[in-house]
Amino acid sequence: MHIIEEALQKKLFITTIGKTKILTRIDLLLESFIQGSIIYPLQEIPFEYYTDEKELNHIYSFDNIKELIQETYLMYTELLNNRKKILDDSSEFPRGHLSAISGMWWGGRMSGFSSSTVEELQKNFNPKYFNKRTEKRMENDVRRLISDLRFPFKILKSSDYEKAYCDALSVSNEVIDLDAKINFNEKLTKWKKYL
Amino acid sequence: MEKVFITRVEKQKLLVKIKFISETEVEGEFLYPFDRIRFQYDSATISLNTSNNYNELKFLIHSVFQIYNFLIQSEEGLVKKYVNLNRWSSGKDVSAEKLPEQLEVANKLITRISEFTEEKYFNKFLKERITKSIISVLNDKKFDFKILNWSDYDWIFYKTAKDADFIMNIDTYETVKKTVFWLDNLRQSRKYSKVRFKIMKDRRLNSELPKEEIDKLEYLEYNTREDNRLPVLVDVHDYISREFNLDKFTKNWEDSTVAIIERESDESEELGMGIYWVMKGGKLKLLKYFPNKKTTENIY
Repeated sequence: MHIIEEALQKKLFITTIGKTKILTRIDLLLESFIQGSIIYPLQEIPFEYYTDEKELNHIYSFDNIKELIQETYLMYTELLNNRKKILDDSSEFPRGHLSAISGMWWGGRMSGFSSSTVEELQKNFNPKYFNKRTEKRMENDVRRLISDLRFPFKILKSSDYEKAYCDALSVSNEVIDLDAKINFNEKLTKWKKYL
Repeated sequence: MEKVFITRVEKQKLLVKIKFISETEVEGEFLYPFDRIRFQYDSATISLNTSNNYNELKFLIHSVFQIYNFLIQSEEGLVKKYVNLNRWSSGKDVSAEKLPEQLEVANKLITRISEFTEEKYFNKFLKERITKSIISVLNDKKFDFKILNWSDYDWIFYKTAKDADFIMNIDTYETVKKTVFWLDNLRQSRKYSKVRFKIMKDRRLNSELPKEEIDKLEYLEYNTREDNRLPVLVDVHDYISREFNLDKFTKNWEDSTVAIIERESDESEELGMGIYWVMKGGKLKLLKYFPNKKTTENIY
């Protein structure tokens, strides 16, 4: 399957919000499309973004990617902050595994609840980043929260940072600091010349 | 034998390389937050290179950090209070002449440090190293080591992780395993499962995809994404017998990406792969096409 591997130009992007470092694994970066996942401090938060306004895969466009990652992180942080409220508001719904029949019965109502919850949350964010795909995934996250009381992603501790970093390094071709616009690989190549 | 340890003092991360000279003797080097700080330690009786005794290394690392932290906090005071030691220094080297006075200043600080540090960690080597740093401040008004920025951590860690065989978080005792690097290794180590969802190549499709298939597709998509982060893969060819409405299929995937692999038949090699963005209304927009180079080479 080498053709797929060629398409997946794995990169690791690092950026910061306040004092929080965000690690993002980029699976695919094309001129007008980016797909990836935040892997720290929230693990496995996927996002996709398409734009025909400008080219994404150049260092001068990285501000756009940085904004996308930061917004995605903030969306999920907001979702986490609303966890208690969502659980309180959804107390009428059954928890745990549902049978096929009761699943069908509750499915529609749960969908309605999750979509209105996400719609409310969406108002605070830039619609170009909060796209339909994000909305759909978040609705799934809310449904999962309601039924088994947890989100389908992990919240990592600060001591997990290096592990997340190393795991991502093992599948990455490039590491890029989005704040400083530094490609670590290039820096390492230059640095090794002096050894 | 070298090992790298990560630990924290409150919110400050420390990254230290430890070289094991013998069972009981180590040489340490701070990688972060200081550059060019080395220390030595001989525990005399305790075997240091075993996980049972890593706590001893942790205390040592913390002590060295606290010592240098104290020194940094004293920097301004040193310069202000003892600047007269250097008042004739412009244009000529008076450091040798002033050395006894500078050593006296260093000794005062060392005595102060000894009050809050265990003697076994604040050994002769470290005292000499500290004295050198103090004299450096008095002469140049700057330390002979570098204090790194918070934002330097990632780069330092990256550099370290690329070379080190062993990295451990000594607070949690978890090994931050440096595994395989780069795509060549990735190719051998990763298993790709893919969503086997098929569309006819000519897209002349006329019946709807059954709802349960769409549900299954969603499920598979998430499974695949969680496992190995591939864009959803659609094999173009080997599902000729089933017909469904492509528009319905893609509409369900609005604002997402699909990778479509092209083949002549089930058994044939891939001809190429297109990455498509599913636009509003379900239309596909080609983002990038990857021809199968091997096949292309064979043709030409």
